[in-house]
Amino acid sequence: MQWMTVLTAVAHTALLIFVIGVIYRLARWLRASSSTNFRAQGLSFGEWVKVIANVFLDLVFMRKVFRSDEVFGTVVWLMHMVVLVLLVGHLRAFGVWSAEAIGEGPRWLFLGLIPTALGWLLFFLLLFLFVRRVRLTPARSMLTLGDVVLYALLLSGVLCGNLMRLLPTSHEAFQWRIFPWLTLSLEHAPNLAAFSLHVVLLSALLAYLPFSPLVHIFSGIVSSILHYKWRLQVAKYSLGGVSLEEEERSFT
Amino acid sequence: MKRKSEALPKRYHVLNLDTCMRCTLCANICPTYIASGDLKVAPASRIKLIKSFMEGKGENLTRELCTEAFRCTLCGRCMESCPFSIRTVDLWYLLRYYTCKAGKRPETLDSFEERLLSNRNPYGADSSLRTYWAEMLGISDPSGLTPRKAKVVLFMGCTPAYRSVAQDTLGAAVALLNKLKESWTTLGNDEWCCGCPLLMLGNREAAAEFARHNVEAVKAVDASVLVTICATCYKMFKLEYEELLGGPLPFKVLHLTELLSKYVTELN
Repeated sequence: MQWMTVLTAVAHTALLIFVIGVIYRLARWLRASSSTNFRAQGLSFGEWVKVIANVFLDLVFMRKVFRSDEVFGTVVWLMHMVVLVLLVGHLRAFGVWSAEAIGEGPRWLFLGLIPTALGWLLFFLLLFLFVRRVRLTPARSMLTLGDVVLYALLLSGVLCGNLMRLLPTSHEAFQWRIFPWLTLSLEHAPNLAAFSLHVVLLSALLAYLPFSPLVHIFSGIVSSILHYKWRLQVAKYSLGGVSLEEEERSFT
Repeated sequence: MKRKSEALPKRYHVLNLDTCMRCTLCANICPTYIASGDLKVAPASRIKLIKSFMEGKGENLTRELCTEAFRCTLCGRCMESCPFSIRTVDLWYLLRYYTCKAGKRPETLDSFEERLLSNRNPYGADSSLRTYWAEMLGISDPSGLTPRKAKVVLFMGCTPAYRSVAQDTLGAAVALLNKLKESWTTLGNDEWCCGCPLLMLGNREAAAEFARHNVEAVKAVDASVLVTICATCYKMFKLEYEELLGGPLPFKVLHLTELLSKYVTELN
């Protein structure tokens, strides 16, 4: 079918742009100068555990966001968790996991009601976050066209995904060979218009990701690790050792 | 040629700027923004300014807009509230650096800097009066106040040296060092400001020049330890000098309390 060819081309192009975007971002970061860090001592295993634990608390449990604003923290945390669950759910279509373990009885719940409810929850959580951006004065002042595009893609992509579940499906199985190594298989063909829009919008999102604030998915982890590593190194350097007999270091 | 390690921005600056999600949790906690309600002073606005400079659009910014870079108290609350722990304070220093280079600092700061550069202290006081505090306190044994070869340099700091509010602390430091029979000296009138005000003004080159001078002065007295009573001077020597000078310092840096702690441990 021609439209499947078009969808495949869209997916390929999106992935290519994504890869180029990631390379561009990495090049931008690496092109800048490195920090002089003569005091940098390697961290011990225990110290790395402390770093990772703090990063985990900040990024997975959104510790700092909760501290600053409990409502915002709840919404943001919930949104991220729902995205994670839905992404894991999508992997079933790519054969990463199977629902065979789920009995016929509870299938309607775990493969039907819950994902559908989560999809709508995600939509309204994203909407809340966008409205917050527009309503709060400091956030509104920072709003860029890029942010609006991002929210537009997110909201419309999620909406189309939700519509796929609402609109009638066919009883026929559906397969889409995206790449030679990646095939999407669905037990029932979805509403093809909603499906196509969902693919196009989220492919556009994937392509835009490295150029958008969504780059925080990767850079946020690095930023957090660098901060806690730096704090430990400064503490070690500042507080460690008061020996007056330390050998003079050469100054070059 | 500028070393790659001395060039700005650094990698983590660029990474941090790209990571900013503009959640504006930093604005909720910024004391200046909370007090003034002025959007121009919110951390989010400073992020926009830095990005403008980095994208080469600094010429389009007015002096009035760039002044906002200096209304920040550098308290660091924004850094603590940031979900990604973006080192915002370092970004604010970077912004001041760009503003300084572009010649768009407030004029009052330009004249302040002029006095600092000529007198080597932020108070505009005569540099030859740097050890006058000892006379004012009636210190009977002034040896050590004139530079001599010694193991420990007591870095006086501008505020303790020129301001009565902290001179007692200097006097106490001298008394303690004498009591402990430590081999110590000051840099006398050859001591320059640690350079922190220059860094805060965005003038990294001048801060590096001051750092270079102070390090050479310490080397000239063959000291292996530099002790300071001032937290700002301590921070400069401990955390900034290596970055400014592109190399490790040839002496250890201690706060007076750390030195005393060492002695207490040894005595026990």
